[in-house]
Amino acid sequence: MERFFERHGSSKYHLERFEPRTSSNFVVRVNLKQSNNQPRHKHYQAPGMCNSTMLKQEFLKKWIKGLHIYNDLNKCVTISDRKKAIKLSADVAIASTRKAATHWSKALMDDVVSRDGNNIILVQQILGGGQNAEKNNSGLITCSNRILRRSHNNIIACRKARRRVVPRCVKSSSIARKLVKNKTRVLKSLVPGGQKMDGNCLIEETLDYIVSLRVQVDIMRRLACAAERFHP
Amino acid sequence: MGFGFDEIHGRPETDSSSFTALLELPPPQAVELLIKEDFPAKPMPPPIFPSNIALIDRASKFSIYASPDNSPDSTAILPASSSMKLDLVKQEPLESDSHPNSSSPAVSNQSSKSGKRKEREKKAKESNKKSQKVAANEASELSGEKLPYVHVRARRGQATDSHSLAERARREKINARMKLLQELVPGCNKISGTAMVLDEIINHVQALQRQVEFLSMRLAAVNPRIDFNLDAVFAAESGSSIDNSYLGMFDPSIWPEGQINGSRQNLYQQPLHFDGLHQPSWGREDDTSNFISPEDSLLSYDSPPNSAENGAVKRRARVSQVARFVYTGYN
Repeated sequence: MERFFERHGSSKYHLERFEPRTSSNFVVRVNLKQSNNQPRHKHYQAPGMCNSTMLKQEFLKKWIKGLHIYNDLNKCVTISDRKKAIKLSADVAIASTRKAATHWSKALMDDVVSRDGNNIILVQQILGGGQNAEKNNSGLITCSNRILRRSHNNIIACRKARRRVVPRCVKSSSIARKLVKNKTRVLKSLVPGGQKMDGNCLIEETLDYIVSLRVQVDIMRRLACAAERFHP
Repeated sequence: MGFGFDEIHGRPETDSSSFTALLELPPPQAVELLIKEDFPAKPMPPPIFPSNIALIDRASKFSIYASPDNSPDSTAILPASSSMKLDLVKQEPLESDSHPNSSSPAVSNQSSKSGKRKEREKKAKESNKKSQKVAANEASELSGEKLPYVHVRARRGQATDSHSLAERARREKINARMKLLQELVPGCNKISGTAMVLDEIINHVQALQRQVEFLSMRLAAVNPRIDFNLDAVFAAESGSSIDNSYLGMFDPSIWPEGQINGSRQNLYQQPLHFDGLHQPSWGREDDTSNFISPEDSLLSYDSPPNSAENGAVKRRARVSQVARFVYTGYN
């Protein structure tokens, strides 16, 4: 895992200057703009996201807000508790940066809310303060999504029932189609809220989700490295 | 195949079979869809093409154009069949192939009539696609198209009925987005084939999610406090010359410590200032690296952070350090 970090880290960051390191003050100046994802390629701009730097700022602010809240609650004693709290606030923060513009962020927030209840609602209120109005809409949307999903499952079941009598053919195209279908099923299980998306929507959501995950990993890694250097 | 077509429109057509053969039409219902749907009030004569190989090719390549005005034209008259070729040539300016008979396109009156017919045909197709495309285009933010219609070109040798066109448009949209995904995920550019690319995407997403878990575990292990002494962490970074100019912008307690500052109001008011810092400071980030020696603040953090004597100073330094933290990285 560390190797993976290092490989990705070095490809992403362009070190401009490396200052000699004293006990605790050193500076590695990194041009954040160059550390955008794949600057060589055509840059994917998610809808509504103007700048990845601003996204990172927003995520960091919200995440730290959440961490402070958890600290005040003083509930987390063991490492696993802390880890859960950290991950939870990171997830809520990254989902709220998208402000319910995407399906996956809505689904993530819904998951968080439904998981525990009390604390999470508290975190929600503070992190997503202006989104309480949106919650009503998202409730309707989740209802409609549930209906869609059920109808989708019904359709699939009918199709399966009908197709049981069809003899199996070993054409390459059908094999390819089966592979693609399996993989889309796996991808749907990975992306939050993916079960209710069709292929088109799924790809869009995956794009957005990957970008947001990268932001999350980036900021968390920086904070982790900084914290470890300070507390060895 | 085309005879049913005749009956629909109540007109004896001699060349209707060639029409359907030209367009490789499946059942006449598709033709019904095409023509009837758009013009319920007018009995439109179907365009008649002579059977000609070149004409077959050309007719199979007709494209759909978005026309904001759907003004129907009811005065189309069937011209003589021989002039149809030329008219078709004229009406398709985007066709790159050269038509063998394109030398004499001087049939003005008939060209206008057939132009209207062509437009009608195009509009017929286009209106079928409109409803599908509008809904699709609402969701197509990625492609950046803001047009209400999508230009769809029926390719050579492919079926041209509305359903297959819609499917093809859908498939192309999906392929465009898959290309974007390929560019986003590292190492996908050389892979061809949807299944492999999807494989890479799945691996990437799983890896990112695992990284998040791992990093949160790392952070949890660092320090018993959940916010793991963020202020101390930020204090470990050095300052730069810009900070002094921006220190005045901030209220002292922008970044409260967990135990000292119980009030959360500052936290919410300050993010505006926070943003204001970053944009102008970015340009000057690179040049200097003056060190505000943080040893004194470091030492003060070992004791419980109740020391109020340098609280204001610490907080100001912290503010600037948080700002810079976003821009500097550690690896």
